[in-house]
Amino acid sequence: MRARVLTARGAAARLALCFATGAPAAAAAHGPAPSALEVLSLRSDGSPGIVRTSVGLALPADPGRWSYGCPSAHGGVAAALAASTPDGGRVAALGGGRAYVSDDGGCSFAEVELAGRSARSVFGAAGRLWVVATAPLDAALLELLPSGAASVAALWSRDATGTNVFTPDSVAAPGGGDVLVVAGARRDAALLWAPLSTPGDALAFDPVAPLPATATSATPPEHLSLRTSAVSADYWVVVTVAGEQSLWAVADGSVRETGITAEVILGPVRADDRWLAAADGEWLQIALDGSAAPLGSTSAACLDEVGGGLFACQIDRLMRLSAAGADVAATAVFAMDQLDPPDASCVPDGVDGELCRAEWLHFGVEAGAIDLAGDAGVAGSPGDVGTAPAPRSGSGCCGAPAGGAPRWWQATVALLLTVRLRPPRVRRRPAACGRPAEHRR
Amino acid sequence: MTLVAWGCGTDTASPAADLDASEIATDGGNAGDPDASSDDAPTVGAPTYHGGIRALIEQECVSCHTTGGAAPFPLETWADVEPLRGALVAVVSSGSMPPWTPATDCRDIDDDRALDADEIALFTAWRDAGFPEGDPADYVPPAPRGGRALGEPDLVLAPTEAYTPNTALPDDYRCLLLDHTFDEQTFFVASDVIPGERRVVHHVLFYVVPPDDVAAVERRDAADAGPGYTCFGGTGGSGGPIAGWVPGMVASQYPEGAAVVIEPGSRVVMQVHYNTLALESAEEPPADTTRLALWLLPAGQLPTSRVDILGVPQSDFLLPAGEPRVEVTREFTIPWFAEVIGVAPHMHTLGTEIRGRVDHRTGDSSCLVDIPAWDFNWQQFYRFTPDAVAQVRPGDKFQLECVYDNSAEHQPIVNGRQLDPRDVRWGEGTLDEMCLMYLIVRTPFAVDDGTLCGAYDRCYRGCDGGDADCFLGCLPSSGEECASCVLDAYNTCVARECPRPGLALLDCLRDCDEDTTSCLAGECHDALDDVYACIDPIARAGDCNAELAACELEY
Repeated sequence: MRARVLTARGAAARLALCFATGAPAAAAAHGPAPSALEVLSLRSDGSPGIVRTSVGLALPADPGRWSYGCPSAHGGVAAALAASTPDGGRVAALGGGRAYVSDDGGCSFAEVELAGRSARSVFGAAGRLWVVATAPLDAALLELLPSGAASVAALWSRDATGTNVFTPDSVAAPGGGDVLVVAGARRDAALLWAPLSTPGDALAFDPVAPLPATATSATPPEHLSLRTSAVSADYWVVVTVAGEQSLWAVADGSVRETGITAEVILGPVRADDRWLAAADGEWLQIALDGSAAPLGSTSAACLDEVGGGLFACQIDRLMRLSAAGADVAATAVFAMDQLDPPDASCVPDGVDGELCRAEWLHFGVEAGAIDLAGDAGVAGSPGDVGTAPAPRSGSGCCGAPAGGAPRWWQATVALLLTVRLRPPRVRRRPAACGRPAEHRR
Repeated sequence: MTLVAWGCGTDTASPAADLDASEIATDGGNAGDPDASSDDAPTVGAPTYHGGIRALIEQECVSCHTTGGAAPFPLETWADVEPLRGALVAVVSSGSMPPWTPATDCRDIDDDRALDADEIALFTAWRDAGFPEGDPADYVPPAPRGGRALGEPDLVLAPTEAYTPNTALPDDYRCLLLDHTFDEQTFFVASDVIPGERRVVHHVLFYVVPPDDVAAVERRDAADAGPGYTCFGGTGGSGGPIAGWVPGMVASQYPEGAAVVIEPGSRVVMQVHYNTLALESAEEPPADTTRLALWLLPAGQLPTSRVDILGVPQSDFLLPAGEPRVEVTREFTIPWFAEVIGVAPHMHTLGTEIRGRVDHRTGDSSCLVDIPAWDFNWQQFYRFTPDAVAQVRPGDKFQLECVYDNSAEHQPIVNGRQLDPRDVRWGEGTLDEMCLMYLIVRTPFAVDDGTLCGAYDRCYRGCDGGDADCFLGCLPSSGEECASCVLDAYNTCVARECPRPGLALLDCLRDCDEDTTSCLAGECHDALDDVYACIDPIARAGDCNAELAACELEY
């Protein structure tokens, strides 16, 4: 199950359909390929709203189009961590240890005062925005309030030894809302929960349950990542140990090792009445007891549940997934070349505006969103930044002919990933790792 | 050391003569404005594309922005430039292009790609005038860079067989032995890398394979199917790097009289990082034949100094998962009298800052390089301008400082996925880390001609008068017997010709608590300089020949 590299080339070969069409123009650039990383919010029709990409935020515009959100608006980090409220109205993004918040859907940002702390990660949970920030003597969970202020929800200080500071790696609200869960590997692994109340209130965290043996093994965890669903109080923790990932299940007040281990675990996400994950390029249907059934191969680079929708990334595009019976179907819902120039109303005047235009030129070309032969959107006067690009010629196997025919990403492509009758390839930890006997297989 | 993702830039002797913005031809008002949105006539005296801007673009941008080059679009013609003219000025004005990461207040770097204020002002004046194209007759090519015309190379080395990158690997690291064995000691004074398939060649490093390692490397080559062998880590040889290439680089020339020395029986292995993500999905990967061109000293001519590229690593560190700032340092005691003529800092994707400096025994400190915002994709060799080379002496401390950010925000994106933080240590993989600085060091060159002090003699004659460091630097390579003889001879001659500074030096050495070399490099260096300033012209005039005769030396 391990050591299977999710290469762009291998991905294209495996999917072998329209998803295999052209790598972005960016591929010729000297750096990583532009990539769709995460869906942050949904539009009213359930399609992706704000999309985090490796070149900046993609902000919803006309149907099937996105406007480019300049990274310089929030600290200049193109692949900045970001989170939003479910409707995309409020957006938080990090940049160089600072946190920025937007109340206009990612158009403009204001820096948040962190009282000298450095922002490490940002999350959207229970419809609210949270930032983990650290200082030499403490780690804080901050809630970003609608007022633009940051309120300390929880603070972990050095203990008597002066070394033991718990720092959340991940923040989530299983089941959509009543409680907040934080998980972290440093300095000691911990999984904590707190009931949620009024925004801005301090939270009182308690341990969820005794942690599995991996939490205190000779090689301690390096990172804990929560994977929750809005429709289930049960959830998962992806635990990174020595560069390898394993899966804990949290249900019925206990935390259990599943024995599922891989180099990369995506999900699990809730698909109808079951959990779907991807481990080293294989779709898996898994259960909380650790049982797993392979569903076929995948080249997905992310797997997220947002507002009840399931989304998977594949380098420069996003697919919406639906699982029915033994099949997983994918519909392409976003591609990097659906990016348009920044909305003119979001581009500030002066130097900041020039910086924004420069970012659009740089990343827009790389993302394949600017056709240098036809676009006027990046040239000329500063006002040009709002000009929509000329339609790109069809590209790839589903490239539309000229004349306004449907573009390739409007096609729905079913990936028939029928359950194969082959033995699971999930590698399991040996019993010596201390997993309870009833979960051994 | 591998997995360098060096970016577009230059490390070369080539560009030297910057354009003088004030001398650039300007449009006299005859050129029409091609921008249909603007009816304004160009400002009289304003720069035009052909009258100034084109030459600047050719000088500063086109080495990357060339057809098939590393940049995503060319800027070679007016047709290329025109649709991008507004954004071009924006990126130039903001300083984001051309990319140049070293701080400018540390040390003067040859071929500094950053535009100066006058050059940026030229771009903005062009914009303000409505981006006129101007008259092609106004075009004045940029002055050739580099002090010497290279002409045709003396030697072009290539692998015996073209290599087709493995598209199953987004990053394919391949070592290819070049088709040449150096039968005699060879000195190259300039090198140029001729990349084959620029779309997939991410960077190239050339390592010398010393004679004792050739058989082992050839076996490794033979054991791997296809041309060359996979070399994600080292090349399998003990030799150091002798040349490198990243997109944007042009030929490298060493200072007059300096050369890289290749010993007889050596070969060269080329490590190429192929980035196959650059290919379209269904495209067959191209076969690549990247070559190395060398310019040699004429037969029978010897260099006065040699250039070596020496790596100073700090490999003992841990970057804990999630930590936003981890500092790693290394102190290296300089063992030579030498000039550091350049550096090549190296980290991977988690690096954020890297600095190198020399703390001299005198108490002074010399900044070598300071990169306050490290970018894995924009790495290169940095060679200092001739008047900015750093003199180092035994006992000086080279200080290396690397800073990393291993927080969730700063994780690399691999194949479309931003990784979760994990503990990271030193390693060859791109997802491992390195803290490494290559020092490009120039030392006197000594040739052993079989006589007692022939090597010293040739080396000493190459020293500039009055340079005690050069004199001392010649001694170690001349053998213990010669060094002892020469020092004895100078002692006697100094006692006769320069007694006062000689006694001062002896007093200093007597009071110095360290070994003689350290004392001469540090506490007593000023006294040594006084002695040398006195005795060197006397010795070169032949007035110490009586003493030096025992060393078979005569001046």
